[in-house]
Amino acid sequence: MKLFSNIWTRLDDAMNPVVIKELRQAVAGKFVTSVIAIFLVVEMFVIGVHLFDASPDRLHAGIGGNVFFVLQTILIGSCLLFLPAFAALRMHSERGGVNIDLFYITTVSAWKIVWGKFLSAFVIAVLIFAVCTPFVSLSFLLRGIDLPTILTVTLFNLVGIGGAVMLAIFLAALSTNRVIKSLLFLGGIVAMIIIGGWMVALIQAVQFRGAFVAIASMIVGPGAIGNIWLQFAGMLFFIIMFMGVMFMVASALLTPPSSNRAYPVRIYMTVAWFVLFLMALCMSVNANFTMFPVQVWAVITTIMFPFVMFSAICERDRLGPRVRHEIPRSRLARIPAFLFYSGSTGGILWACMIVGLTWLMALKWDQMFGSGLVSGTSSDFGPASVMRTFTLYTLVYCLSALVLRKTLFKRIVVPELTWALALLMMLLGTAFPYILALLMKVNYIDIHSPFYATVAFRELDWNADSTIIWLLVIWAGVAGAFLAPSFVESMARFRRTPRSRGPVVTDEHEVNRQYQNLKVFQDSNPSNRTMFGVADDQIFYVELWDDQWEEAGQTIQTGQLPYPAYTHAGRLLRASEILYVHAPKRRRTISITWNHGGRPSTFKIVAPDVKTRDQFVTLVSERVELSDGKILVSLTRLVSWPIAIAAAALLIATFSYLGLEIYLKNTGRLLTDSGSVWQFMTLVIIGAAVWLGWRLWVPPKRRVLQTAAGQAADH
Amino acid sequence: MKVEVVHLKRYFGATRAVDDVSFSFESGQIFGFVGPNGAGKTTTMRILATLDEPTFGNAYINGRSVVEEPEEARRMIGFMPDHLPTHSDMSVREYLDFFARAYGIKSPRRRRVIESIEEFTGLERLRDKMLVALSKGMKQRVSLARALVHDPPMLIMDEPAAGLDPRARVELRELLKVLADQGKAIFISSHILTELAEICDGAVIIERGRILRAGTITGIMESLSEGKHRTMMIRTLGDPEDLHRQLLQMAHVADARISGLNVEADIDGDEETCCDLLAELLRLEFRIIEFHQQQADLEQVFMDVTTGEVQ
Repeated sequence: MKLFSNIWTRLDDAMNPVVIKELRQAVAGKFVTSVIAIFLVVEMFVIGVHLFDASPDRLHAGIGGNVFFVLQTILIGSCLLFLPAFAALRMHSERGGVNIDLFYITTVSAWKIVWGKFLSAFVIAVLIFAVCTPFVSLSFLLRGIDLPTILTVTLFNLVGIGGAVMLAIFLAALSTNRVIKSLLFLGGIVAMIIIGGWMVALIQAVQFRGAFVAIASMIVGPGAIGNIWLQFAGMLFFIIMFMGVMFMVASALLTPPSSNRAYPVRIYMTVAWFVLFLMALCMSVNANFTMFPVQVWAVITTIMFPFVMFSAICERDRLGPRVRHEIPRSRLARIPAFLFYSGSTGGILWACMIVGLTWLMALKWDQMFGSGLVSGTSSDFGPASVMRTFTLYTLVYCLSALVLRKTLFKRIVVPELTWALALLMMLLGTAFPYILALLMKVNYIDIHSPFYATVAFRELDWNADSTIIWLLVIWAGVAGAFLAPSFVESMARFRRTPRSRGPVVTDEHEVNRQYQNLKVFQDSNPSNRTMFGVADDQIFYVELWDDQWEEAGQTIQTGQLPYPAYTHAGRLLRASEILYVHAPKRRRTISITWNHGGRPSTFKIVAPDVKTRDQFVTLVSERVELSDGKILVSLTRLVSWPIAIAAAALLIATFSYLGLEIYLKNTGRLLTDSGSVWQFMTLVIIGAAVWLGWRLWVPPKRRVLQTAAGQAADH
Repeated sequence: MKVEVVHLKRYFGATRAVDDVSFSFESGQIFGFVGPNGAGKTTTMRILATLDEPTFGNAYINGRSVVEEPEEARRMIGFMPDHLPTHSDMSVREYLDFFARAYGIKSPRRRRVIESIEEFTGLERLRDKMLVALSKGMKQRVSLARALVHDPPMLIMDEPAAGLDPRARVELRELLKVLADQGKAIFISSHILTELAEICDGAVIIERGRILRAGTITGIMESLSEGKHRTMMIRTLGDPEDLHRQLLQMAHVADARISGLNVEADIDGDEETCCDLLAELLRLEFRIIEFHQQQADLEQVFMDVTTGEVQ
């Protein structure tokens, strides 16, 4: 007895607390009990009607199949109506209220919360199925259906209901406003109807074929029954995989934004992508090298790509301290980690990598078996063109939205809403050429012109107008070139930072004493903006985020040390501890290396032509006017305004020229092709080259701030 | 155990909810957090409770950063938000049991812990009641019990006394005193300043995200009265009018006014001056039965240092 008690205690302790809570609430509430009671009454009524209505001949022939079908339909209907709603409401009540805060401060992880919600709903589903068991047994006794069919259908139904519940939990986990929530609710209802329809159709299919025959055929070979069961197995696996994606994303949505929330999602999706590929290959080989499974896999990847891209561009550019502590130390491990860790750059590159690999793998398969999947020669359904169009348009609009958000709309659009900007641009880009064509009275239907390249998902056929594809590639390239500096910066910043162990130096007076002694402030705070200070000469290097520029200026003007928190989180070092100063010729940065607890630690600063510490101090002393107490601050902007305006002007001019040419062509005034597409491409390439040249050869801006009253002056 | 908040900043776009806030307190102390609505109290508390991430700065609980090691910090924090538990279809016992499980407390210790907390917070007779059926004061107790379930060395309490009746407030105050005596560091925000002044060892006054005053309660009050007159409350058995007239004629008395049966006198001088004044009044045969310095209370300090502006 004690053994049982011990086992029970251990089981009780090991159980997910969320499951226990949810089930307790479900039992205490009247909702679940009422639904089960109504369900029982309906089932009894249906059985009764069937039995009373059936003639002796029909009873003799066996009406079990019909009864089973009706019972299962009611079961699916009840479960799909009630359980996803139950799970979504439970999740919504946690997500929308303050209760999620209480979850966060416990040691329960987000995945445990989601799993607990799912499992509790699933347990209730099993309970309802168990309630239905006597009726199902009766249908079996009434003949007309075999046991394997009953078990197979039950398995499919459970998986389907599980998928519906997970979908509902995922939708409820989204943190959106009421309007979008309402739309999601409506979308959820439609999804449930579709899932329900599919499941009822599945019951019919299984009943029609007979489970024994079907399973036997699946084992013997695909030829016997047209491979329907292999397809079912694949579909079942796909549903479970998709449930996994929703589970991971819902967990990530519940995780605090400061954590590495994208990491498990990307790892899971990569594994799922690869496993699905292997499955597709197996199915393809099993069906005499039919390309269809690989095509399905490629299309699924392509459909997932926009979702991944839209979420990637919404991620933060700079990682928080929590994530930075988890970055691997090894450089070799950092490269793959960069792709999988949270962060917009890594997310975009990861999504592009997955699509690129899909493309390459599909290409290889295509070359091996010559189906025309990638080459586009096949007369069948053309997933290749769908892939190209979807991925390219998604990529160009996402990258363009990112460029706009980082430049023009920096203070207007928050990173979390970059997806909305991308979507808006897509809508505007699609509507604009048609509106313009309408105004110019051009018959836009017949036009295959690069002018219409902005129309989202316009060309689904590669061969119809390859110019558009090239334009999209160039567009993506230009947007990528604009983003390249920030991408490179993100990569360079992707380094592990040590954990700070609380305040070490707390003597603020030492810091604010107007820097009478030579000191270097080590940047050991993980949430750093890099800073370097030499006290006597009032030398500073401050690397700040652009949006904090003004704040730093204000702080400096008050005569205070910028961010004195460094003195708390870091350690004051003497200049004598500096080991050496290194200035590479080709870079405008110098590195200062000092003795950091017995090992050299390097700090990078921006300063030209300095090779030794004395030179550095002398140089900065010359530049810093001590009488005014000016402080040198280096500021590098992502895109300078003149360049942005010039690039915009170039693009507008090019598009205007193209528009004019199209107008002339359509009105019959231009009879020969002037090759404007190539001109357009050349202009874009020249523009990108000019911009890149500017970035490479023109030194970054320096700005001198005055600590005393005075105007900031640009150098 | 020491709690240190180091140059904490939290920006929401252009709004600086918390702007360079630093303070510290230790085990056994009750530390008040005072400020008008929208001052940044809840944001600071949420950061301390690892529910939010600062834009800059850090906070350390026993040397563990709430930013960098939130999982470790959480074990040391009991957070009582300004919202009451809203879980439906759950009894008090089930609610506490759930959070005990969530903190990984195993059986049979879990049962003992819950029972002792129920006893401490006076919830024994309510353990089988549904949460929704409880009064606000009782819900507040449940919330406190939940925050204590894993025996954290630090308690963060956001407006725990809001909406409570006087009896419930007194009871809560007593509970907090007991917890502080047990060695817990308690960080509490409240609008009821008189109560805070009674139980707090120190306080931070914050407005528009910036600290206006910080330190011990006495220190804060003294800092406010620096450079000002001492106000003495004097009561005589005779006619207060006579005393009032006499005071106005005396040296070092900047002003005097009658307040009921008392006379308030603003003295321009130190304690020596006050002693001399009392001696002089006694020499003049005033039958003084009360003579004490009027202390500025926290409410007055709050009104003096804050402007009432919101962001």
